[in-house]
Amino acid sequence: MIDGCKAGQRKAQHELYTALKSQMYGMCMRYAHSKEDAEDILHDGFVAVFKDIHQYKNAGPIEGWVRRVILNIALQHLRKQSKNIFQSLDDHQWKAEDEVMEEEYFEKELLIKQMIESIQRMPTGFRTVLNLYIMEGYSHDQIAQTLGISIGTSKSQLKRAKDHLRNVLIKSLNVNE
Amino acid sequence: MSMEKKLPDDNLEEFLRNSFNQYKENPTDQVWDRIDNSLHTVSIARTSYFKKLFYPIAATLLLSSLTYLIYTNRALKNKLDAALSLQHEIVTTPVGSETVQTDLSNTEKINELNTSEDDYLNKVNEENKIEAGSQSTEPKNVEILKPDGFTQKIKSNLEDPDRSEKSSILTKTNTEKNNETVSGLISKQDNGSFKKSNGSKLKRNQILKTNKTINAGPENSGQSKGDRRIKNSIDLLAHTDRTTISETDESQEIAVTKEVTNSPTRAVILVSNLPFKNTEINHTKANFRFSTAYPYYTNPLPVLGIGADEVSLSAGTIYESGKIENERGKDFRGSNEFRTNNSWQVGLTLNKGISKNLYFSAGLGFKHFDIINDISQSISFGNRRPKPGGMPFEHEFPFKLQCSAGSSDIVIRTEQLDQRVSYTDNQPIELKIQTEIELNYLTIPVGLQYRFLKNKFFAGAGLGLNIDILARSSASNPEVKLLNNILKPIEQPQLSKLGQTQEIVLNSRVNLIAGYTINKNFKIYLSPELYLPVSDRTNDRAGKIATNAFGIQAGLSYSLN
Repeated sequence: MIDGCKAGQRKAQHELYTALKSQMYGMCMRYAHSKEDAEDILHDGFVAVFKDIHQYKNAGPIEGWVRRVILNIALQHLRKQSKNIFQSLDDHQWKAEDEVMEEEYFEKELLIKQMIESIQRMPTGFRTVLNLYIMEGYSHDQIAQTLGISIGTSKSQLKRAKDHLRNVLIKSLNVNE
Repeated sequence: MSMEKKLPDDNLEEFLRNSFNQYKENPTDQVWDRIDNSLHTVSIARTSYFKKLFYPIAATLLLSSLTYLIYTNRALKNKLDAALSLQHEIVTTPVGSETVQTDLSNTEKINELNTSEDDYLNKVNEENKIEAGSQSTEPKNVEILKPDGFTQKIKSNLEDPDRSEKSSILTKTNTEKNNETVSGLISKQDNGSFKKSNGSKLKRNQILKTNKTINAGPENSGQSKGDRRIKNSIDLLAHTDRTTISETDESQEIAVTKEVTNSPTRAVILVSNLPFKNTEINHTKANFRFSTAYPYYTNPLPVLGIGADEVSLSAGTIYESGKIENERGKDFRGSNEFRTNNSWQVGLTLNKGISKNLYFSAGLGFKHFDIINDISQSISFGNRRPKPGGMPFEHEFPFKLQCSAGSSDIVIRTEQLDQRVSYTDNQPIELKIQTEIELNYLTIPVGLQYRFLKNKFFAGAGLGLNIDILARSSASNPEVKLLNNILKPIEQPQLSKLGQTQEIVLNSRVNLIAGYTINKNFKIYLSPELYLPVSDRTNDRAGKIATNAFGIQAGLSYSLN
């Protein structure tokens, strides 16, 4: 399949896309602020994957390599949306709106979906720091370098983002109880 | 019990990591379609683009080269063959007792020539007097065509002894003199001095005119009362690419036109016998230099034919409508249509005759489009984006505005009408967005046009390519209307400059033409046109434009010959 992708075969590309689309789209959803935005990232990400797949040297699973490519595209996408979004994190006076809990979020999958939507509603910088730290395993130093912010900003925004998610989760669980 | 104790930082991170790592969601099917298009349309589009460009460019180059060859490759040998052919064609019929007066003093046209040629013609005239009865050279590669429609009439004229004598347009003496004139021309051209001295004049038509008056006796004319003077005239028209001799016999209401057409491979003589009424004689003479000798040429006005080049000034309206098929997914389904409001074009076109009926045309014009773009779409409430620091009931919707001239990202700022209500992400928001776009193009039309003539009216059809070069584009700020009772716009969005607009647009063109010949120089016409896009106006691959355009132009053309 990978050789087919390297040869530019449409069938092989479709197979790889089908195998990874839901997983990668789940990741895109966390970085984007809407489904539409997530689909744009997914589109651009896979286009980059297929164009650069000759750089993949079969060292490690393809999922990891695809994930890194799409992550980079997601970060590029966020930078395009606002060039100064990461530099101005401290200026944000973001107050999370009260999340409306509904009975349909009882199940775990729906709960996760609710949390992802909460993440999407966060300011782009907050959302990105949270994703890079928790999901991608970046250190604050790496996040600071990647986003061009200070380590202190990274830490403080991670804390605020986690607090917000914790509240969302607690409220959700309370409703559940 | 505090739930926070259940969710210490490590647990929260672990919970989020596990949850999100396992979280999967399927994107819409359109994503793969877009990926597939991006990956394979890029190469296909490039190939297709060059393919589309290749053929029009190749055709244009071919036609241009052909036209250039036809109008510039006029070898001296062809002129020689043409003149020899003309000599061969001229029918000599001795009249016997008739006396012929050749009036070469009536040379108002000749007087227009430059001095060296004038001297030359005088010299030829002198030589004619001295060397009467000179022999003509046999022509080479000559084909004589006599049109069917007039064959019978010609035959009847020629075969009837009486009529032949009466209608015989060329007398021996006169023919010889003309032959000698042609021979003189040939010999002069052959040694190069004529060409050198008259190089610029040869680019335009020249008339060597001899009028003869035949004193026809009663026995020849059939008249019972005295002699009758039959006025014949012979016009020798030396084009740069052909030679034409026209003989008119006013008494018999007959004109014979012979034309030698030079071509790189052979010379062709066309003979026609054109009946006309007395009232038309002068008209025919006056316009003779434009006339052609084709058998079905019944109109003395010269609107068609080789060398009937013309320049046209035209103006008209354009109407265009179309739609943009958005491929961005179900959230953006709706309609996106555009139409022209007030669009027009003006242009100057040069039509170069490359055959009797066929023109190669090229020009330069200006197109102005006022386009109204109407978007009607439904997006979901979930497409709003957070607005840090904003009021809690204000919602912003990022929106990609696509129109026929390009695309731009806008933000639609809205306010919730009822703050007591919470809406789900699936709540649809109906949008209507109208934008006005102005596009100005310089346009280069190239193509072919076929015309046929009926009396003073002509009609035809053409096809070609319009190369439109974007000169200026602008777009008004979009007017957004929300067709629901949950949100209202706070302010109209600002439109940044349209992006992804193609600088060069190609349109193929099919047109009809119908017109009227006012006089020998001017024609007016109407031309409805249909434009079919060859390339897109925008390079935004997310929106596929389907469009068609048509227009009608009114024009005035001036014959350059």
